[in-house]
Amino acid sequence: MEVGTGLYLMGLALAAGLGLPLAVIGAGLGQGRAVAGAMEGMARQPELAGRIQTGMIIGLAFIESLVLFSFVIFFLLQGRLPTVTP
Amino acid sequence: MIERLFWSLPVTLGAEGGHGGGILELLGIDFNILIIQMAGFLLLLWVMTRYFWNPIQATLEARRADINATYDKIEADRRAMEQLRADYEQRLAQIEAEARERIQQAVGEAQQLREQIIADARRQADEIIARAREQAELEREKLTTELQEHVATLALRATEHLLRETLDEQRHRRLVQEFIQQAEVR
Amino acid sequence: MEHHVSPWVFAVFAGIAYGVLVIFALFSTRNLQKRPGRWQNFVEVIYEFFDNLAVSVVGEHGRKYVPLAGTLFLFILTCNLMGLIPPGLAPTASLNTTLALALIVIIYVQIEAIRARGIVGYFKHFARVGEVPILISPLLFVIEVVSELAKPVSLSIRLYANMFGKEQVTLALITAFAVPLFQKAYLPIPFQFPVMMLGLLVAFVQAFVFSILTLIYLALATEHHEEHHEAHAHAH
Repeated sequence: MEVGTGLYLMGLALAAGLGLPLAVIGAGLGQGRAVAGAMEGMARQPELAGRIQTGMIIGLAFIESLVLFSFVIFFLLQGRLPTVTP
Repeated sequence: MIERLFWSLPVTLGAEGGHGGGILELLGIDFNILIIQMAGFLLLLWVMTRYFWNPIQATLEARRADINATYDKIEADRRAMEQLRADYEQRLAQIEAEARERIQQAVGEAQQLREQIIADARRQADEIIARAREQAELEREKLTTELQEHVATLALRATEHLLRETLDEQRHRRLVQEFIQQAEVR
Repeated sequence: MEHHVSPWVFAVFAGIAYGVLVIFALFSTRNLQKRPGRWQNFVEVIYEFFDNLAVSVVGEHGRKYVPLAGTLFLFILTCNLMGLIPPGLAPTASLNTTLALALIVIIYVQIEAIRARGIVGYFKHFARVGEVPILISPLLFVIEVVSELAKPVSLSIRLYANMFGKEQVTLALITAFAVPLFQKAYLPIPFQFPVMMLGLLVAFVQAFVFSILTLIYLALATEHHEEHHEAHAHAH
C-alpha cells in the first residue's frame, strides 16, 4: 500500500469517526439552549405551554436534522473505508 | 431528470473496498420503488380522504349542527317559559292586588256599617231615654194632679165631717187650695 | 454491520402499512354515529387534533390540508412502529419511502402555491419582487429555488436518518452484546430496550414533525395570497 493511499485512508477514517461526534456536540449545545429557552418560556407563561412545546419540538427537529445529515455523510464515508479481515 | 442530475455527481472517493457509483446508489435509492411508493401513498391518501377523513368531518359537522340546533331550541324554550312565568306572575300579582282591594273595600264598608249601626243605636237609645223621661214627667204630673184631686177631696170630706159646718162651696175651695199650697211649699 | 436488505423488502413492509391503514380507516368509519362510542371518540380525537393543528398553523383555510397532514402522520407513525415490532422493519428507514413522501408533499406545496398566487405571482414570490431592491431579486430567486429544492431532501433525510439510525444502534447493540452472549439475536430485549423506548418517542415525534412541517410549508406557500388581499383592502 502506498503512503498516499494510507494517508488518504487515515484521513477518511478520522473524518468518518470525528465528523459525527463534532456534529453531536454542536447539536447537543444547540438543543440544550433551545430546550432551556422553551422551558423558561413555559415557566413564565404556562398558558402558552402547548404552543411553545410545538415550536420547541420543531426547532429540535431542525437542529437534529443537521446531525442526521452528518450521520448520512458518515455512512457515505464509512462505505468508502476498506473492510479489514484479520 | 433528477436521476440524471444526481448521477452526474459522482462520488470520487474511489477507495478499495468501496462501492463506487453515485450518491443515489450509496443511499440505496431505487427509482422504481420510489415511483411505486409515491403511487401507493397517493392511493392511500385518496382512500383515507374518501373513507376516513371526510366521513369523520361530516359526522362532526352533523353533530355540531345538531348541537347548535338543540341549544337554540333549549334557549327558545327557556325564553318562552320565562315569558310564561312572567305572565303568570303578573297575573297573580294582579289577582292579589284585586283581592286586597276588594278586602279593603269590604272592610271599609263594614266600618261604615258599624259606625252607622252604632249611630243608629245611640240615636234610638237617646230617643228611648227621652221618651221615657217625657213619660215619667207626664206620669208625675198626672200623679201630682191626681194627688191634688184626691187630697182636695179628702180634705173636703174631712173638713165637712170635722166642722159640720157648712160653708159655701167657694169658701171651702179657697181654704183647701191655701192648705195644699202650704203643704206643697213645705 | 452493513444492512444487506433489499430495498424491495422495505417496499413490501410499506405495502403492509398501507393495508393496515386502509383496514383501520374502513373499520373506523363503517358505523359512524351521532353518539360516539369509545372507538369513534378516539378517531374523532385524531381528527380534531389535526384540525386544530392545521388551523393554528395555516389559518382558517388550512382545514382542507387535514387529510394530507393526518394521512402522512398516520402512515409514518405506522411505519415507524413497525420497526419496533421485532420481526418488522420500518419502511421509513429506507430513503425510497421517505423521499417518495417528501416529493409528494413538495409537489403538492408547489401546486398550492401556484393556485394561491397564480403562475406569475408564484415566480414573483421566488424573486421577492416588490419586497427587495430589484437588483437583489435574481440572487434571491436562486437562493429561494435552492432552498425549495432542499426542502424535500431535508424532509426525507431527517425521517430516514432518524429511523435508520435507530435501527443501526439497535443492530449494533445486538451484535455487540446479545449475539456473543446468547448466540440468539431475538433474545436480547434488555440490551435493545432503552433504544426501543427512545425509538417509540422518536416514532411519534418524527411523524409529528413531518406532518407539521408539511403544514408549515403549505402555510408559507399560501400565506402571501391573504396578505395581498388584505393589503389591497387597506389600499382601497
